[in-house]
Amino acid sequence: MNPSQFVPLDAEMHRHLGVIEDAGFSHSERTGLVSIGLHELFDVASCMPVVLIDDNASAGVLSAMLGFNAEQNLFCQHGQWLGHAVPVHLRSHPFALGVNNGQLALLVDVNSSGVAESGGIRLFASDGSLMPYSKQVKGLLEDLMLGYRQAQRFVERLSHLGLLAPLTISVHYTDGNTQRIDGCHSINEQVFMRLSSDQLLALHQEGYLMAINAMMLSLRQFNRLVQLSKTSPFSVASVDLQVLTP
Amino acid sequence: MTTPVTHVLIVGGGTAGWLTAGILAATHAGKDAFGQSLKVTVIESDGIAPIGVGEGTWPSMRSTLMRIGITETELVREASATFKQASKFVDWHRNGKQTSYYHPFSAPQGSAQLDITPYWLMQTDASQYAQMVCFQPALCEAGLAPRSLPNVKPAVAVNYGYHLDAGKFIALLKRHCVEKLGVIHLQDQVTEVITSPEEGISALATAHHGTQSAQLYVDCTGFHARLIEQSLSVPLKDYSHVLLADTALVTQQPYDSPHDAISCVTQSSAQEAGWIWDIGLQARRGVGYVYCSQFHESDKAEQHLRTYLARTGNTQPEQLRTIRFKTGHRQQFWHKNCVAIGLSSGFLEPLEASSLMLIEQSALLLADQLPAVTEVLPQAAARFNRALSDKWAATIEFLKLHYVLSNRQEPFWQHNRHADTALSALTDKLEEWRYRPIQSQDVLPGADLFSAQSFRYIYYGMQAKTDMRYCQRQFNHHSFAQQQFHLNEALVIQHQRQLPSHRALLDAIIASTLTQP
Repeated sequence: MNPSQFVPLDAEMHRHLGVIEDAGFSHSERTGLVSIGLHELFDVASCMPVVLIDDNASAGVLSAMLGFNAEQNLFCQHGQWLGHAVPVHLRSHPFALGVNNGQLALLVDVNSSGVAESGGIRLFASDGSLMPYSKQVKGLLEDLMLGYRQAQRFVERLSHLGLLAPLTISVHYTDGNTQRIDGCHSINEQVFMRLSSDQLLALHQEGYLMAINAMMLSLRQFNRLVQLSKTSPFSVASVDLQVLTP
Repeated sequence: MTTPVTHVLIVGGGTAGWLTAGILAATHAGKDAFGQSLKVTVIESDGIAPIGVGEGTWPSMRSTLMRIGITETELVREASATFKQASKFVDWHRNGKQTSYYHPFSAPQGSAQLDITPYWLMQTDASQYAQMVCFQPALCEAGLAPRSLPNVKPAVAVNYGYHLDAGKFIALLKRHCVEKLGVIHLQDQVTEVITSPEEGISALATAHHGTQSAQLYVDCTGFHARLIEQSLSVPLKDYSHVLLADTALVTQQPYDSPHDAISCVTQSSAQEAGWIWDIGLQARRGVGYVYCSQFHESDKAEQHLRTYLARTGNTQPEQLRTIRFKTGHRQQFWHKNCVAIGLSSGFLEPLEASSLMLIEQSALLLADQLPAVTEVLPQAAARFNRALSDKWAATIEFLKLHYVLSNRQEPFWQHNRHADTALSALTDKLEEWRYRPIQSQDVLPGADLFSAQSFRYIYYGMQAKTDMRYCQRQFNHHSFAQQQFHLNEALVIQHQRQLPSHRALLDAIIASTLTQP
């Protein structure tokens, strides 16, 4: 795989550039963790576990787990995507948002195999304007940026209420090996159950109550990862989850 | 003993002649109980060139063409059609930074349930009316097409009409009428019109096809009005004292490059003694200065037009074409067995693209109400005359509205606001609208060619005022209105993401190998 080279999308330089869509998102073969925006939580949480990845700068980064290690994507096998949800970050490939001349600009990875000099879905019209495809990707990324900020605020809120607890995942492989995954947090159910009605009402009005429930329910999706592992080289027999409540 | 109407003879072949032929033939495509179809003949002399300046349509043209059987793809490919989303009026009313406004084809947000105009009026910040209530002006400013690329699902479409190359449109209509609808085309001169006191027209003598006769004749001979005026002496009712323009100076300006952006609005830019239209087709723009010769020497008018062209492009045409016209319409459109459609029925300056629309309205009414037997011609004629009279009156009033609300100070414009040129019904309404917003009941049935909403777009676009202090007690749906304003903003963003540029859509339609309508 070529190293990425993101450049601002330019009507002159990239007039004939096209995108080759990959329904299997095979560029994400070795992506096991994806940070998500708060706006896509419900969609993603119904398909894959959502946890907070430990981060020195914050109380945790809201993320989807696609496999049992950072380079394993069990949803992407044999050129097919095996889930119904696809995190926006993966859908927006090979684009990104960046700042160009002080303005928010759409960037494209010119080294990506998803980008072609001719053919594919055109990015620009003959008059130099962005085609709807490009505008929609830009919109997706702008919404994602907003979503990341909303996720940060959500996580800070959880942290203030003492609702976060470290999560340990023990993965038991069919070949007898066991792997222990640390470094993430989930919801502390006991603290959650003891919240006052005022606190619950506030969370509900902020739209956070359902998000908390979604995160808790999404832990069930570890079963999904176990199922998906059966068709991968590293078959898993079972998974134990432990939320450390002090 | 009844005389069935089995043959309609149309004299003249421009947009009026061929649209009428198409609508008649498509509507009466079947056979009667005796196995007879309706015969439709168009006699066209190629010595008389069609005027060829009627280039903007209303959204109604889409259903008219569907009725005739012409697809949008054919229109784009063969008539160099582009999409029209609005009219934009520049410099008609100037107030600080606000010097232009839109009259879009789409209605304001929520209009099916409630008109939110009163709530816009009650807001303290003086934002632009059309932009606040409707998403379409933003799409026009951004140069976007009114619908998504072919084969995109879900398809997005907003209300639109077309800009057409009149000459190519006529050729497309003619081909379709002759090849698909069985219309008979006689390329010939009418040498004599034979009249009779009872029938009206009894026959036409032609140079190469002998005598032609029918039960009904349609005069599409343009300003000549060969049948309705020259033969049957039905006069024109003059309205040049209400709408003052009497001359059009017309030309074309090609784009600098074949990939230049194309505007999706008909732009009307007010000038010293009239206004300049600017219509974008695929390869060129149609531009014309409509003015009153009493206020301008012809070389002054040419100067204005050339100044405009210098601002908008890099080429100057060698010759400009001058068309003199009389503003007005026939006293009767249907006299005995002769119906006038198109320029023979009258003319109004093209400020709101009414010319093709009035042809459509006339031809559709004629086709739907075509008498089966000549015995009931008078009844059909009476209704047609009443209906078209109302439509012309409504159009004249709506065009006058633009002029009375202008704040320009040149003599032409001052004269347009003078009591001598006023329409009393309009003056009365304007007085009422100072004290309450425009309502749909202000537009009488039959005269509803231009809806109350069209009046609002012009009235508030021209920054005319409504004092809300007394009437505000009847407008109490504030939260609904606020929702609509927010929804409008959201729709602008959503549509901006989903719609291609105007040029991109045209490229895609032209390149498409699928026969999509």
